[in-house]
Amino acid sequence: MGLLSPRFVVAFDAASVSGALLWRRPWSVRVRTLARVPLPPGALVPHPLEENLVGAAAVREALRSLTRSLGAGAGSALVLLPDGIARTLLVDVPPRTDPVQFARFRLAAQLPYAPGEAVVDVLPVGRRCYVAGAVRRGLVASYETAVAEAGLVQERLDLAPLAALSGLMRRPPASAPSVDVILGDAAVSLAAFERGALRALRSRRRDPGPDEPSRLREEVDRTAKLAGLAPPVRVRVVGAGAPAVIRGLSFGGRPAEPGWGPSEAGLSVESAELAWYGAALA
Amino acid sequence: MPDFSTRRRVSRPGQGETWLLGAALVATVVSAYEASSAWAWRGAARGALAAARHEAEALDSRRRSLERRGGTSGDALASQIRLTEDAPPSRVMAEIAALLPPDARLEGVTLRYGRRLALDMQVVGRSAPAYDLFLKRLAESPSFEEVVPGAETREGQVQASVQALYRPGGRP
Repeated sequence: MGLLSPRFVVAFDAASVSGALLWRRPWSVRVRTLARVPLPPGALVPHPLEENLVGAAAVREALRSLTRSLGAGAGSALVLLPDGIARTLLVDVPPRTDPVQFARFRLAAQLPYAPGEAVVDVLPVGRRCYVAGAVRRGLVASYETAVAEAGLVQERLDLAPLAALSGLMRRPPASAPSVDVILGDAAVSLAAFERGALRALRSRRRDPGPDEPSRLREEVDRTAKLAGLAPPVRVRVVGAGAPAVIRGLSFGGRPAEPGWGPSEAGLSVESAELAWYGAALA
Repeated sequence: MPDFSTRRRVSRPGQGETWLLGAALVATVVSAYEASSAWAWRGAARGALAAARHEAEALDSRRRSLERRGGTSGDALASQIRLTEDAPPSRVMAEIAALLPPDARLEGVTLRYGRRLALDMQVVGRSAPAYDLFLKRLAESPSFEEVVPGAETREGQVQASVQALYRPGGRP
């Protein structure tokens, strides 16, 4: 990806493969083109252990269709993996310690597979504070294969919740503590911020349904309590189904707002739906 | 930014980036040259400033010295101005001429205006008594004092120099 060329983002999730060409300017990010190609039910199942691309052929075809729709050509792309496949952990790294090595050490005891199988990396979120993520190597490889077979060049591979977190960190609430809800098709991540610092990070399987807002409201409260946040706590929501969740939370007495404005991406769709938009902001 | 790729990719720079890198290198070189020039100019400016400061200090020192002597110089100047007004050359010459006997004449006179008016006269007398009479009148005149006869030759006529101080308005 060149500095003068648009950034190409491809995001996998259970229900669809989406992508965009982004123009990044010094003062803003605009989406030049956006496309979403639905996947057949069960073609992609986000899971930390088992093969995700159950319908690999359908996923490959969706990727090709997405590339054609965007007119992206064979440019390199930032690839985002869905929430629900990685183990994440907030770690404070001791001085003079490699963050990735320390993250691998801390995550090793929590992984349901051999630590050697994990691809580990970190997102800096403060002074010596990182969000560590681990994904099973075999799962990453299958996504990489799908990307390559669709004729795309992989620039970087990130996790959708970490990409969203990067963007949300760039616009922390001015004063009040906040809990950010990052929605994926299969999982949801909750991040608690206080005075611009990430205090807690949790991840849960998502169970969409009529009572999801009430469950999410409880998860928000638990996250705020875990982080020791004093009320009032602002709630920001991004990701798949964000508008409905915001309405449900507000209706249940927990006012919520979108993590990024509805029109700032220059889209006709609700940009809060796009968790990966944070990758463009970061 | 995190990268969970199984093999980290290194993206090749695009053409735009290559141009930007080249422009950045050129800008760096130009900036370094400008910085170097500015540094050299700064050194020269500092040298000039030091020289100017040294000169200013010297001038200030001289000014203070002159101010300390200002009273004496001022008095001398005031005396000279006052003496020029009180004893113009025409009046002094007239008074000298009044003292000359008929057999003596004034061949030359130098007037030096300072704190006092000093006179240096060249006198020719047809005879020694005429010259002596002039000296006598000069010494007795209230307008002249400290009359000092200088070198003289007496070969028939007398040629001599006489120094005296003029007192405007006569002796007190």
